This record gives sequence, structure tokens and C-alpha cells, in this order.
Amino acid sequence: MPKVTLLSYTRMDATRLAGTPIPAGAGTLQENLIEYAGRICYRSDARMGHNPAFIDLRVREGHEDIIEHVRFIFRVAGQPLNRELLKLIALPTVEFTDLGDDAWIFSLNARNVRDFWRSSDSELAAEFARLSGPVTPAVFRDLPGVEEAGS
Amino acid sequence: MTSAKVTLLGYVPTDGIPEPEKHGAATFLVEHISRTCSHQIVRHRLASFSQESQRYVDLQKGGWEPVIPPAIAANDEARAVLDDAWGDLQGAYRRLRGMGIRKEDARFLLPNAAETRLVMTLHYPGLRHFFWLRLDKAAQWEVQEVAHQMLRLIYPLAPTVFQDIWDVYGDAD
Repeated sequence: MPKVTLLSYTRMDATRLAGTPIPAGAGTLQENLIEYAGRICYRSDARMGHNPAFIDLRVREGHEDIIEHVRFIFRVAGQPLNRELLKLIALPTVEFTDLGDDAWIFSLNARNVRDFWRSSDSELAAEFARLSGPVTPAVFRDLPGVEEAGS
Repeated sequence: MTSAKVTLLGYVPTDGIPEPEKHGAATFLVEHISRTCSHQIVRHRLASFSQESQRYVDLQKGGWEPVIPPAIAANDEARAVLDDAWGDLQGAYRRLRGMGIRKEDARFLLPNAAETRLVMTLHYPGLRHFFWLRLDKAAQWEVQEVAHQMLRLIYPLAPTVFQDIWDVYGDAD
């Protein structure tokens, strides 16, 4: 079984990002970014946080570009090159570094995580989804085995 | 007069991560740009975009102003032509809406000058490519201004990744 570690993901560090215009939404900072991107499309950003199901509804109707705005960087150890890895690196904007000895760095967005989970029943896909879950629960809560943040 | 405004909404820190120039990413809000400018931006296919919709947002509700090219702004006669045309199109849009025409059809009258805004996320390989193309002196003035604002925002967060670009373009304006 591969050992997967979440190294980094999209941050909105208030001390380094002066003047972020994102008002509080219904979830984590990363969920707020996704909700804000969605509400830019409809010019409804004044309604940030009004609908806790906003992201779930957008994802369900296929408006998935908004979840692409959150990206993750993982370290993977004990993962040989196989068909499942080919499915992963064929997804758009997935980047990787080959560290040797079956170890890798992968960077991908939340939509990639979902798409990989759908196309691969590998432990790697399940681990990516499990570790991404607490960052943006609304994006992954329909996937079995993904825990809610703080639960 | 409206002019482009870029805000950094988020980024992926790459401290201690091998090959940060591959794995980092940044998310920007770009406001007060024309549909001409956004057409150029969204051609960067590796990026992710969420753009204000002309199907869901009415011209009046959006409060869109025309983006005026500097060469037209500096020429009173040319400016009058643009202002007249914008006023006519705005009136025609409103009349179509008054007839019950849907936003998605009334928008066929909106010109390239119409203001828009979008959220874009680029991983660093895509962002570096965007910078080399759009910071060039040959790039269109509006997208060049957007690219300069983006570089000024992201360079302090990832100086080693963007140093070569900063060396060429960082001191411009």
C-alpha cells in the first residue's frame, strides 16, 4: 500500500495576502474560494454563505470548473509505475516529480482528485480523496470513505 | 474610467517541495477588463476559469461600463464615437429585454468593450508561459497590464520560481 502525505494546498494566508476580497462563506477557507469563484459567474457574491449546499449543487449539476481553483501537493512513497498512475498523469494540469525508488511528488486540483477517484479503484485514488476531504468537505462528501472535517 | 484590477485570492506554498516551478499554483481575481482581454486570457487552456456570465447577469444588474482603449480616450472625436455606440447598444439591449428577450439573446448586442471579471487559477508552468507571452511589449496593452499586476503579486511569494521573469519585466512601470 502506498504511503501518501499531503504536503501543501491552496492557502489564503491573510498575513501575506493583503486585501483578500473573499467574504466569509459557509465552510473552510478553501470552500469559500470555490463558492466565491462560483458566485462570480452569477454576480451573487453578496450572498456568500447564504446557502450551505451551494458547492454541492454546483458539483452535482456539472459546474465543476469552480473546484479546480483548489490544488493539492502530495508525496507518495511505495507506488510503482503502473496503469493507475497512467490514469492519474493523463488528467489535465497534473504535475509530477519522480523521486526514484517508487517515490513521487504529485500536484493536482480537486476536480482531478474526484476524476481519478471515479476512474481508478486504487488505494492511491482513495488516499488522495481521504486526505483532500477535510480541506474542502463539500467537494468530497458524496464519496464513500471520505470523512467530514472535524468529525 | 475603469482599468484592470488584479487581486491574489490564494496560492499553493511550495516551501521545501522539490521542483516548485512545477507544483506551485496561484489564484487571481481579475476585474474591470474587457471581453477582448478575457478572450485572450481564457485561451490559456491549462488554467482554470470562472467568468461572470452574460447569460445569468443582466447588463444593468452587472453595472458593466465600457473599457476604453487609451488611444480612444486620448482622442475626443474617437471617444465620442465610442460613447455614442455604447449608449445606442445599451438602449437597444434594454429594449430587447423589455420585449421579454432573454439575457442570453439580448447579450448578442454587447460589444467587445463590455466589462467582465473572472477568477483564474494557473499552476506555475502555466503561469510562467502566460508571463512570457503576455508581458511582452508586443502583447495587447490591457492583457499586458493584467500580467504585470499578476507578476507583482506572485513574485514576492515565490521569488526563485519567477526570478528570470522578474529580471526581465519586474522593473517595468
